[in-house]
Amino acid sequence: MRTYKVIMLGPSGAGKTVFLASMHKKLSIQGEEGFFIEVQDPVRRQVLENIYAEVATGDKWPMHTDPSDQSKSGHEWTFRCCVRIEDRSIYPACQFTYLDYAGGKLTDVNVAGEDLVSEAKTADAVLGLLDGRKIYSFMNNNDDEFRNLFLHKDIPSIARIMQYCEAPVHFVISKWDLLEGKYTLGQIRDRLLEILEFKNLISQLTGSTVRLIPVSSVGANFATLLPNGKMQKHSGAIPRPFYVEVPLACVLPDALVKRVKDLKQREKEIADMVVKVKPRFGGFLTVIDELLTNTVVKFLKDNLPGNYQFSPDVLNWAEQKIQKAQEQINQRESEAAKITQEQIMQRDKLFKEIKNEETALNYLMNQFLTLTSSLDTDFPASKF
Amino acid sequence: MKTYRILMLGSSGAGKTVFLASLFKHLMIQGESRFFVEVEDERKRKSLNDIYAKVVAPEGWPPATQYREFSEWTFTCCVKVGISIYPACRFTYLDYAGGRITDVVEGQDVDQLGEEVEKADALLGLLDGQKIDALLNQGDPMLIKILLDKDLPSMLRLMQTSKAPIQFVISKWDLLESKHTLGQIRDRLMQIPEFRKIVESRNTIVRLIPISSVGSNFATQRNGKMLKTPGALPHPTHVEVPLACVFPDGWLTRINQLQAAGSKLKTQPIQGSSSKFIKYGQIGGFILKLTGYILPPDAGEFQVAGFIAQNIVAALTRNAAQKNAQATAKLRQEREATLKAVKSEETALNHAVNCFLVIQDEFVDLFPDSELVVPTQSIDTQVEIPAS
Repeated sequence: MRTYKVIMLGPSGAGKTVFLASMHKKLSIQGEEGFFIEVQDPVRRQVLENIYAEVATGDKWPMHTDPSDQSKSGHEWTFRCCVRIEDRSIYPACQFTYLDYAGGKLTDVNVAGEDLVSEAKTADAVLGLLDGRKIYSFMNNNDDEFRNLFLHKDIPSIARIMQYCEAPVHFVISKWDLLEGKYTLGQIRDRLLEILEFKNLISQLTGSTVRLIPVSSVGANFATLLPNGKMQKHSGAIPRPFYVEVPLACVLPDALVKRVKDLKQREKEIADMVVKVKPRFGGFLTVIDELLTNTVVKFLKDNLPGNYQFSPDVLNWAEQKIQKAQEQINQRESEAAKITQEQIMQRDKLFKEIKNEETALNYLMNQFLTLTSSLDTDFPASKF
Repeated sequence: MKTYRILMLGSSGAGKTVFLASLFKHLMIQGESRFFVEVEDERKRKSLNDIYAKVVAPEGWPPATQYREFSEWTFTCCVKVGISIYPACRFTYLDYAGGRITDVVEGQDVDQLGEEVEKADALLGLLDGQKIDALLNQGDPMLIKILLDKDLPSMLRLMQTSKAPIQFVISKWDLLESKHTLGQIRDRLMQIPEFRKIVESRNTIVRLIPISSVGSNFATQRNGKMLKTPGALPHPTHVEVPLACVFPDGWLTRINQLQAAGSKLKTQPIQGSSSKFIKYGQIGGFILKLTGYILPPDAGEFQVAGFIAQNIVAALTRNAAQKNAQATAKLRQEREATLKAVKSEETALNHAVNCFLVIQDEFVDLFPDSELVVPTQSIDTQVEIPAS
């Protein structure tokens, strides 16, 4: 089965493991997302369930992951994406391996890190998890330790590794419930771009979409920040994870577009072929037989690595995405909304076609695109 | 990989590690500089981030002794083109700091230090901006006494035994810039006989480089206390200049040394150059007459492609008083061109040198007084290469 590697970079306390636990919670039963994820190792699954239970119940929050407790396999989490169709048959489509390093390894002088740069170089996507609590201090201009660590340890350490990445990188803002209503994502994005290392990094990452994704493991109205800096849970409140599924949904579409783009840049011959393709935004959604013979798609079929071999529709979508990138910048919001509508219309059709891993993956890609489009619509500032 | 060694001299507390932490902070991600630096040793890298975080932390300054365990810091200059990264060269900063330098002066480790001075491609003397401020303002007599009787003498004693280019780096420029010009500081320092003697005895350029770890507007001084401006972000200022000057200044020094040694060199014109003499200019007390040739193989670490040599000469011989915006723009254009051409360590070094020249050029525009020049005799310098 196709497996995609996602590296998570984030300092201690940013909430990397809690984020994975809440993603697992939200996606473990097939719902409106149209797919579900499972952790096949029962021990690992239990760990995530326990962490989430700790988040959702009681007065306390889970402890930070201790770097010394983290075994070699302890930081690897494999999520299998599956689709359950009407006759209750289940089709696995692909899986994602998340590498979650204890935050101390990234920034702590006294904790030996692993070769995160080498790991990041081979990833399909790299997520930088930014601690929403620290961003809160940063946005408030609080001259405190949160702001200081965020500016001078977290951002430099994450940006340094991302500088070496070939894969798409995204920034996930944790604890969005703390920021929501106080700051817009656009305001946060603008402030982040005032940080030298961040600004320099973004100016380098022109080869792929860089996203800023707000997530909350508990959602709004679950906890309140007290004057002493602690988060107090509301009695009886039920957590409603917010957007925790979106970072996963962005991995594959963005990585595919990046691969196609890199390939095109490397191969001059493809540049000439591109002009022969009729611009057809959203072409992925309608199967057109002649595309099978289209030279661009054939070229991509011949040259993309196995993990990135998709149906001609999907490859054509990626190709069109690149061509339309500039127009999208201008019409991001309206266009994104339109795509979402089209994708929802396609959902039933692709769902009915599921009969094996390949068709399940085809359907899953559509669902991923729907989710990423929702992000674009709800948060136009989420793209750099 | 080509490695350049910089011997850092300065009293304990002058801010040597803070300077290195600011340098790393400023150059760790490739941006406007068009190259970046990497510290491969993980503990040292994290320490530098740690030190910088402490510099700007609410509670203040890192303890002077905390990182004394490290005496050597290596920065690898790398160039990122698209998704590829190429290392270009290395700069190793040796910290003969605080207690260590006192020990040395008292007679311990003399051989080792002598060797380091001999091997150094540049000497960096870090002067505490607060003491310089006291010197110019006739402030705290204790600070002035420490500067004149302790910090400077121990630094200058070692400098006089070296033939390497010298950089005097003045820290805490954010505190000084509104009170003094660099010209005033230069004039005051030149009144110190030992200082003047060092400057006069060099046969290459001596620089005076003001730096700030936090930049302007990060904090203001009121009633002797530093008050941070709410919401202000620190932006290290000119901290990259000392590193950027190592190569061009070292290159010039190497030329002078080769000439002084009477090297017999065969010639080979630079491709595309129609004129034998491409540049004839003045730098420091020297008339630099340079033919369009690359350095001979025994230029070692300073061996560089011919077209880069042209740029170095153009940048070094430009009279700072006659600002030439066109020349600066041309240098920037060439930097973009060499960036696109990077595909190996050699081409990465070519590009890195162009990056250094842009930094040096823009800095000299801003601070014409940073080049300490004492008019002396003119020396003809002609550089040629063997036709190998």
